[in-house]
Amino acid sequence: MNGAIAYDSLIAAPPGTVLVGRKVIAFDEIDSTNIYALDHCEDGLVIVADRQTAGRGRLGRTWHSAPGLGLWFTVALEGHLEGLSFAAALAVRDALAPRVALKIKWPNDLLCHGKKICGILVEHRAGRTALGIGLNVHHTAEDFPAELRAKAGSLESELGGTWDRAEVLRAILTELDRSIILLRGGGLVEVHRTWAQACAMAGRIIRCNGVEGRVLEIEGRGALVVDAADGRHLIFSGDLEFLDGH
Amino acid sequence: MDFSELKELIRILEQSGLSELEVEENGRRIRLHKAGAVPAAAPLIAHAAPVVLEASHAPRPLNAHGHAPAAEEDPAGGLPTFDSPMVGTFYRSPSPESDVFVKVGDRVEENQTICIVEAMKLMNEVGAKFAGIVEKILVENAQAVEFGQPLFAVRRVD
Repeated sequence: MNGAIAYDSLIAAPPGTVLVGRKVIAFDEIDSTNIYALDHCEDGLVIVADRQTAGRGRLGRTWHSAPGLGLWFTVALEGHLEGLSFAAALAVRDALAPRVALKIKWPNDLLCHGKKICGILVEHRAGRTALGIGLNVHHTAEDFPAELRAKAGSLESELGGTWDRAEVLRAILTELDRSIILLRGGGLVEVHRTWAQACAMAGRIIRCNGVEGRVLEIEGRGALVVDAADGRHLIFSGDLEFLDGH
Repeated sequence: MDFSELKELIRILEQSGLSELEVEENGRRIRLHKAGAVPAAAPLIAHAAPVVLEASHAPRPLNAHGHAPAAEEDPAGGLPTFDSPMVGTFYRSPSPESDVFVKVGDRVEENQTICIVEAMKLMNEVGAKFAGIVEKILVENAQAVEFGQPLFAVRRVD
């Protein structure tokens, strides 16, 4: 089922959340759900699109958001919320937990069988937040560009079975609603602890931003503390590679 | 302990009658003392002595660069600055292929996006605090920046 119609069941019967997804707008096609959210912010509004023509990843990299294949959506929020990207990774993991045990790759990619199936990008502009989530659902290996096939997967390519994007979205929104309310109520420490445990980074040997070494811990802001040959480094962003296997 | 917290500690020590201050956090101990400080009974000469920084088990305090903050001349040349709102990586354009948000000599309006600071896939668009002309860009693209670190020196225009 392609187009915005894929989400009709969710729009007809909203998820019953307090904040996130009280209102859901579905588009056949949009430039980017994050851009729409930053331009038309309404607290808790969810924008979902069957296809994004300018879906973005980190550093403006293209996010492959082909029609009919994935769940591409954004939650618009008023204000900035520390820990949101951690809470979002946990929410996606927990929403899918009844069917699959996804792993979180620091900081907030979700992996299935070692392949990335979900990416999260939070954007802040002038007191507004766009929490963008892209989850690959119906892709086969051939749907990914050749250079990504070894690294990217979808729920169906990795797990088989049938997946209804509207119902996956409903489950994620339900989890996100709880965790965003928790964060707004001062639950950052709890969210951070759960997320840091899920990342399981302590002791891993990594390379990131030209730094190679052993991860000592994830510190309070979420950065990696890495013990390298030339001393300790704090890593706040970058492409993380594991040098000790998956 | 981040750079701004460290600066706050230095400020507290400078303005206090103390000659030494020691803080321990997450297993790292930082001791600050005023150079040339004399026993507490002696009269205090405020601001006469610079504050010297020592970290006990690390040779220097750790920041996002892995480098110690160093006292240096004001790179902004006395102009007001737009500062980083967070620790992260500074980007002058929304993507590597895009044009930069602002160049030296550009006029920016209040709240106009001037750069992005990213940390942990949170892309934070930084807006101009006031209208002005960008006179200097104080950090390189893709460089790690601290909370409160000056990014742009800007001449105010009304």
